[in-house]
Amino acid sequence: MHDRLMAIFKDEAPGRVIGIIGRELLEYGTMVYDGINGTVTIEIDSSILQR
Amino acid sequence: MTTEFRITIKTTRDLLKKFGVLGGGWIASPSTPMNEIAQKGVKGLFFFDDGALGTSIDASVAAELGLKPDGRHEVQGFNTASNEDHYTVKIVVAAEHVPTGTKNAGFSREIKRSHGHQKHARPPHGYFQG
Repeated sequence: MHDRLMAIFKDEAPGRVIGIIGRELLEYGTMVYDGINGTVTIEIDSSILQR
Repeated sequence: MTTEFRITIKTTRDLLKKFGVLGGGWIASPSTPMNEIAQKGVKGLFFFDDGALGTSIDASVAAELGLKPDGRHEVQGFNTASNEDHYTVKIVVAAEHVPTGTKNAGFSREIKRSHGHQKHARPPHGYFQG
């Protein structure tokens, strides 16, 4: 599935997609997805430093 | 929650709908000092994917950095499974370090068991630094 995803990105994305970051980072964060304005904010908790 | 880093992605409604959450950063070999990441690392976009457990890097990046795999791991996708290479890399994500107000600080994560063929990986060991 990711092979196809990356193929699409390579052809059409606004820049070179070099990787995928999953829940192992997002588990420390709060993500606000503002679809109307095209803005996403991810705040990462300080507990990530203790890992 | 105490916010340590803030990643802000500003794009357009259409691009966000089409591609999802793409944020800037670098991938480098794990021995690369933070102040040399921009020169020695590979710059690009990361797809923030809450449908993925771990971290993946594109195989072309591993080749470009001259990395050698340090193991293999069975990865699972949607109705698929395969064995893929692992690489140890340093990933830097562009972010604000909130306690100091430092903009464009970037924070890094050294991935011990990442891999390079566009597949999932088990949760890696690593660390972050501001």
